[in-house]
Amino acid sequence: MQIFEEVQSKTINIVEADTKQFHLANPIQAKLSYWQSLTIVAWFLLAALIPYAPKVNYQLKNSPPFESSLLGRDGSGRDVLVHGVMAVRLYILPIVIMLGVAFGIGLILAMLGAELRPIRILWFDAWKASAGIISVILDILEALPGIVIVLILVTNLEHPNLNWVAMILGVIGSAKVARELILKIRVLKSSDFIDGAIASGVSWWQIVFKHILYRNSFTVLVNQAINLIILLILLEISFTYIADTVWSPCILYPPDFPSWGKMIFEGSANLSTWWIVAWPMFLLFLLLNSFRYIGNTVIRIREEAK
Amino acid sequence: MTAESRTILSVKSLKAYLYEKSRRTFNRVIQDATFDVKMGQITGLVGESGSGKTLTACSILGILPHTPGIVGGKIIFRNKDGSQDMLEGISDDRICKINQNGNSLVIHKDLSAWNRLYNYEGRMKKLRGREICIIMQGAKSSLNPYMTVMDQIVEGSEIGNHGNCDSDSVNKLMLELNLGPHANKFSNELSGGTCFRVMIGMALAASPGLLIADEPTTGIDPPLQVKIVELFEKYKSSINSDTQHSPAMLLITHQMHLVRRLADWIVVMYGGNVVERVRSQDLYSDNCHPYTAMLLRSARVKNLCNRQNAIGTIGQKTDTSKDQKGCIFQHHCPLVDKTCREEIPIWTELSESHFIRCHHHDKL
Repeated sequence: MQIFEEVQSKTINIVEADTKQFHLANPIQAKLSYWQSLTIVAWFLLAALIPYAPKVNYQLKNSPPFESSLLGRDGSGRDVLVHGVMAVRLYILPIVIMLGVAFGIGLILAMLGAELRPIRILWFDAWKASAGIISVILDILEALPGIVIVLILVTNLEHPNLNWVAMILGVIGSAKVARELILKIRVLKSSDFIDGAIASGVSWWQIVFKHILYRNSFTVLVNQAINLIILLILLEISFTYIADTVWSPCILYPPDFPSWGKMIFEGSANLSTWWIVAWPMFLLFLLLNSFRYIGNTVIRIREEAK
Repeated sequence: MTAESRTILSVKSLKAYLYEKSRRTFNRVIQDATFDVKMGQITGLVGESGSGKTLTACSILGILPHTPGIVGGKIIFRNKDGSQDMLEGISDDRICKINQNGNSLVIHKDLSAWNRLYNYEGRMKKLRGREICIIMQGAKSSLNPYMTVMDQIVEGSEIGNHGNCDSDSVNKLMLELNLGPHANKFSNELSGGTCFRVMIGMALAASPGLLIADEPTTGIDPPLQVKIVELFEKYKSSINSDTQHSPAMLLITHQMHLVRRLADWIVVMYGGNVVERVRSQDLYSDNCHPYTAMLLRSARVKNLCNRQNAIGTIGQKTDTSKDQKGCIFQHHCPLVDKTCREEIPIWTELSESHFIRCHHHDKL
């Protein structure tokens, strides 16, 4: 009995802690997340809209911070600060494609796999069969060697680019998204509040997107998104390395294009010019860290608007 | 206004089955439920646990699981605009067939019959949250843990008003139910009673024609029960006005004192059958069904040790999943005789406000 009570109190604590992620009680954290989210959105918009022509100046190459510019210059004499900030434009479209594919396919697979049916069909075992088929599809998708497929595609395409890599990562990543969502949906759909929502007349789409995905599976989706973005950027860095050293067909973008992968590769080759690698690493951290807060901020803005 | 037009909900000979996974059989959960709910009145649906009260409510709402769910009978619901939504004409032999040993059910894919059932459920989907609202068992777990109190009541209002939130009525409800200080709290930060008030707020925000309260006082401490009863009494006084479309309420409970205090009509269910329909004030004065008498005796006995002696065999359920001859209550009835074992009793009108299904209605 005591064990049962302990387990129960722990469960309640977990639920409370999970809920507080959305309802940021700490005002400093709430304010920080608010400004961080706004900065990230502004950064993306600026990087996407402002034209960027890298100023190459070999006379100033590898000059340290505070000498000729605030954060120093790289091997071609380009300003590291501007180069790092503008590099995000390389990732905007691939990230959108990758997350769109991963969440789109993942959501459909999850709804079929978790027997979350939008329409009623006559023979009730048909959905059970669909769950079995989806499980096999997910096993196959998870067993696919993603990086090998990306390599084959990149080397065989006439004009390879990062969008194709993102698409393949999205398809393979959708399996992981679907698995996580199936687990979450299976637990949630038998919960009392979902039964209550059905009985209260909440529509099927509202239950799926508002009650299950938006309110209860947000953390799962954000975690998956961050994992996929990290994977994309790591692959970009790897391909930059391969293209520069062994295999030139692996070039995924024009050589002048600003890229964190290129900066990290260039900087890590010689740590005496540490400023070239430090700034993109910080921006990468800032970007991934902010993804967690953007959702919170959206909810906060909505509540304040009320 | 005629008596028929005052009826908001009419359930006639409702029959429903559910599939039991572990035994791979179909259980008959509702065998024959017949009752009416009148406008401006509270109808109490009483019976012991497992007698099919909640499943009857689920059938009315069209949310009974589809395996195979409702197979017979008629449900007629009168909307606020006077139109009717009706489920009827699905008979056992068209949609499913019971085997000779009575244990299993063969489902025939009679498309027209199935489609009618889906049409009813499709129509009820549009009425749920607008014309019919339900207060679920276990208020705390029925609230979304990630939505604030305000959000949940606003959602109820939006569903009830076709996507538009009636902010005036929401604010009025928040004040009436004393939910103002809790507006921005989540369900895990609230007490059981406050959660229940939120559930009532969600249901009333839609101003429904029929409110179903499913065991509202179960698992709640006595002081809070009193508060809930007071809330319902307040609601009762507000719906008892003699307007053309005054709302009604179906109160599902197994507590006799609650229905005695709140309900105008009492419907008694046993083993998926409605065995008695009686006006509340006649229940104690008139003769009643042997099962109702047992329920009343069990409610009167204060010493729990003596309860078993007083109530006899109540609680030892009859296996209603199998077909059987005669009265459903024959195995536990003190008045049982040969007729009870062979013939199913029909409805007998003892008075204008008292209907009973018992062969021994004259001996009661």
